[in-house]
Amino acid sequence: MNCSVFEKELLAHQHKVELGLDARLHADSCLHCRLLAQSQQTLLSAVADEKLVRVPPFLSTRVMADLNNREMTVHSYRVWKPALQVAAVLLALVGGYSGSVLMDQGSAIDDFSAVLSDYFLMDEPGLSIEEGWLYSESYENE
Amino acid sequence: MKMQEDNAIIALIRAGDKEAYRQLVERYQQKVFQTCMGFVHDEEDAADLSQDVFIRAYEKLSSFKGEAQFSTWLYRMTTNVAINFVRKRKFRSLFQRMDVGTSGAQIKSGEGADAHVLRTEQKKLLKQAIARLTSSQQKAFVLSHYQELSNQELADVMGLSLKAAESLLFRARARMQTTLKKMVKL
Repeated sequence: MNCSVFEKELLAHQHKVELGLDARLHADSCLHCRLLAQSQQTLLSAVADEKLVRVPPFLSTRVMADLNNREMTVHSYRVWKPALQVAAVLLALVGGYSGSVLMDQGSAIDDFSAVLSDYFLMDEPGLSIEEGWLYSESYENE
Repeated sequence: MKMQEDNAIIALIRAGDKEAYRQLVERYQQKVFQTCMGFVHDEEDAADLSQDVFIRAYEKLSSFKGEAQFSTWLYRMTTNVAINFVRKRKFRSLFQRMDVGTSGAQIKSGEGADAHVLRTEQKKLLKQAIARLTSSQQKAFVLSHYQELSNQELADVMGLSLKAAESLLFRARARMQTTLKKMVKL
């Protein structure tokens, strides 16, 4: 037997390396093939070792609990979904209203200071405002 | 008989009896776990992965038409989920610089130090040899060696012809032998 035939024979062993007489004789005389057979046996032993490991207890319980949790999450989302939508709309309305009030307040302060500066800091306080009011188009139209 | 029982349980689940799914889990958990072990070589990861597989299987149960066996469908899903997990882990390890190849061999109670070292070496060799296979070859090897599926069952799970499945399995073993030859090269 040569190395090539030995390797082919080795390939046929799926779960345990059990060499025939010719192969054993070849392995005795060929270190490379002997090591190859040993490493294949090591590999198959590792597979057998891993196959012996039992599934942890309560896997089914873990799976069922996980499924229930997922359903609870979906279910609670379904219950809260309309309430969340209403809250979001209300929040948008309140936010919008508050924003507009704040902006109005800001502009009102600006208007007030403009009137003050117009009235007191000009040479003839109030005249330009009065004129503006007296000769405005709206006044004439009335 | 088993196929009929599975289909009966699935009909119950579809009718709203969720608790019936526990029977399917208990029936296939060891096989699914073993398959996961073949890919990840770590008990905790294999348990988490098995849980993930069963959750996905439940969620996708509507796509199971009952033409093939439930086990075939489940094992196909298991191998796909496991391959994706291994890919992600490999990708993560590139950044984390963690050697995932040496983890997982915990000292068993009553196990001597020599036996533990030997077992760790065995595991390392196995991981290295399997990691050098292509995804399809890994699936074929694990299903054949860990699940002990026949070549026909392997072909069904992988959606291949019998000849193609046999060829794939042979190539997987040949590639493993090549890896081993490189390792033992004098």
